[in-house]
Amino acid sequence: MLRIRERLVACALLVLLSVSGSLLHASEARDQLNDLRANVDAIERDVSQLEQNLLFPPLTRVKVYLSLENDADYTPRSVSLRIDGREQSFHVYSPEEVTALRLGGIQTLWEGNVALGERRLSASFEGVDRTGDEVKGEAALTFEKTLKGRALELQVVGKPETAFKIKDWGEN
Amino acid sequence: MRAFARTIMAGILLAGTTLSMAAAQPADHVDDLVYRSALYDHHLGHHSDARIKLLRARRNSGGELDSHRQALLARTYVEAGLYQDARQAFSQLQTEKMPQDALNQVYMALARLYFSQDRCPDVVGALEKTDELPLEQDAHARYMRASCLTAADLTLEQASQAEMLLQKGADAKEGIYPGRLWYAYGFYNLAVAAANAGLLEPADGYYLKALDYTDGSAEGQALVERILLSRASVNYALNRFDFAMKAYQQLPLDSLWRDKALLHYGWAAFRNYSPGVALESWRQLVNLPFKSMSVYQGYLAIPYALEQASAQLQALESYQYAIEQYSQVTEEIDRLTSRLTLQKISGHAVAYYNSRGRYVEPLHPLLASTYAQEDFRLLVEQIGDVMSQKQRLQDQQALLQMFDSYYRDFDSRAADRESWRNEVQMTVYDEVQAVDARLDAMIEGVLRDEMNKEAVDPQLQQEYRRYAVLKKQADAGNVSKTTADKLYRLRGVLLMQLIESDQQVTDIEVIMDFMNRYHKQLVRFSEFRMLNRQGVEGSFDGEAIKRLSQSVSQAEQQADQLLMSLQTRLLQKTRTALDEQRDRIELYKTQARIASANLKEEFYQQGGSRLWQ
Repeated sequence: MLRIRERLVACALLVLLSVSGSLLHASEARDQLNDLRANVDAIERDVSQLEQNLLFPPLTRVKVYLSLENDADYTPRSVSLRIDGREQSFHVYSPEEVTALRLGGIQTLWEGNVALGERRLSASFEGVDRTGDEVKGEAALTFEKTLKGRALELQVVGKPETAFKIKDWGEN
Repeated sequence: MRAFARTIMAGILLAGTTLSMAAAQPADHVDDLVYRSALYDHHLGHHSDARIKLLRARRNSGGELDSHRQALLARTYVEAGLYQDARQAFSQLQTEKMPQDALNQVYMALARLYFSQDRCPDVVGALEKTDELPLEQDAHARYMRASCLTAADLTLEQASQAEMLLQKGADAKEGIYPGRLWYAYGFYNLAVAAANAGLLEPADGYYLKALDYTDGSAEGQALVERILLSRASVNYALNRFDFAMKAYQQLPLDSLWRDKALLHYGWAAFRNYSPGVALESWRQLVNLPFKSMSVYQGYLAIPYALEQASAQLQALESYQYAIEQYSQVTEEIDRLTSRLTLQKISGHAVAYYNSRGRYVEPLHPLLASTYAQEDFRLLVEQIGDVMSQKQRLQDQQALLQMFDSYYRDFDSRAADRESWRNEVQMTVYDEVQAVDARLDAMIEGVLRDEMNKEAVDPQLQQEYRRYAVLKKQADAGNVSKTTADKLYRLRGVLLMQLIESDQQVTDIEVIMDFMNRYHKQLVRFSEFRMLNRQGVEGSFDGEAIKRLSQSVSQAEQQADQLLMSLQTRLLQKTRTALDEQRDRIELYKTQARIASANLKEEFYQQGGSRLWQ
């Protein structure tokens, strides 16, 4: 959207008449608007932190991420996530999400509350390889939920062949 | 409690703890998750989410971000149009250790930032630091550099340089490729600059090249229409009326520029000695439902053409009709001006902002092109932006109110929770104590039975005997706490040595199982002991809610003041624009009156008075 705007702005600048009379006001307003946006950003940052502590306090917080290796011969279609056998999340991937994963992004697949103690995280992957053939996989990990928040990463790795793993990042 | 202390030590010695293992994870790995998660949001176009994550990470790390995160933060600022923050974020960036592809991203974002502010030397400076850009970025970079070359009063030499710059990039690959449309924009800007500088012939050629690089997308087609319209006007200026007519004809019937195309097509036809075609075009123009300024020019063009064709009577009727239309529209403008309020203008601005390019009914048809002008668009965008910031603030305030009521409720049940925690702690305490007692007896029994066997190393047996003497004293309460703790560590060591000596230890599996269970109970116990008010509620603070709520209120006031000032400016500008449109209409009306009077006079002189007496 910004690019289109940039292009049109540039075109308009060349095509339309000069509006220098209003530029001073516009730049003042722009500075004030930037100031306002920075304030709103700071508020949103603090509220989101507060919200996270409220909804997912470290005591029970578990965050599960998903990553896809750039060269993995696997395009995810869906992932089902279970904790202690109970499904917590089922996500269907859009092409844009797959691209974002391939570009090095990591998806926050699920964030929730888990009771203290030993827990089992398991995930079922469904997707296709580059020939369009269906590829399915499973991964599981037993972890100890302690007093601190926990981060886990579902990994789809491509070398030497497509494999599904879970990495425990420990407290987070 | 003493029993716990010593057994905790034994437990740690034998089994280790999950807590300590987890604590050993390096912190930068965790932070990396934040960066990659923000990167994911950024690639999905969720720039605000990415920015908030990075800002949180920055605050949590004491205001510092490493170069990759800092670069990503700067890019999210650019995407959001927060140029001041982007500039600041870029200035804090250390680029020495960054790989070239990451540097390319940074410098491209910087160039876009400067380009949006018309700072061409800085644009060129930033782009010079890029290297081996991918196709789309290369096209974008060439577009910016070529546009910068054409920004000043264009000379033929500069035009030729800009053309070469674009052509070199555009020739690098055939067919449709990412970023191809940048070349269409580049040649279009070059053509417009050339036309403005009076270089009409080259301008026509650049328009044709621009057309070559458009595509079938909605954006590409919108650009095609602009190019055709501009190219037609250049050909008109070059007196190549047939070429101009052809270009106008290529515009689709539902084009946004239909009114302008019909007006100028008519003039091109008229100058090309086809008054009939011109009249047909202008009649179509004045019948358009949307009465733009081109339509009002059409009202005047029709009688002029009729007059030139010596159809005086028809011309007179048409002048009269035009005068009526002009009177009608000036009355409309006067009515609108008197009814224009801050509220009305604000509602319109918001609708315009939210439309994101879709059609919005203008306040008056004559204001449609005015609102498409850069300064009006900027003002409307700023109003819309402030409104969206206000919406964000309202959402945050609503969340904080929810948190506050939750917190009050949570706080009112503090005593219940305290009692629940105590209850749970006691239960676990009892369980641990029972396991501890049983484990204690089991280990003592195993050591006593196994150490007396002949196969056991005499040295180990001797150590055990020394331990047994001390243990008796300890059981009788005749040793210090420190000695007792040492004693139980020694017992753990003896047990381990016994297991490692390959001696067949009776019930060792049961003991190890017990120990594992015991260790888990200890972890639970330590966790419950840590579940004090601070542990559970420390992350949630009533004062923080109040402070944030105050910040939201202050920001809302800031937004209201800014909004008021922007709306007032838009109202003033709209009134001024309406006055200008009214003046133009009045001018046309005067011209129509004069032309009509002259025509009547001519008739009179030619003896035609009977026609209207």
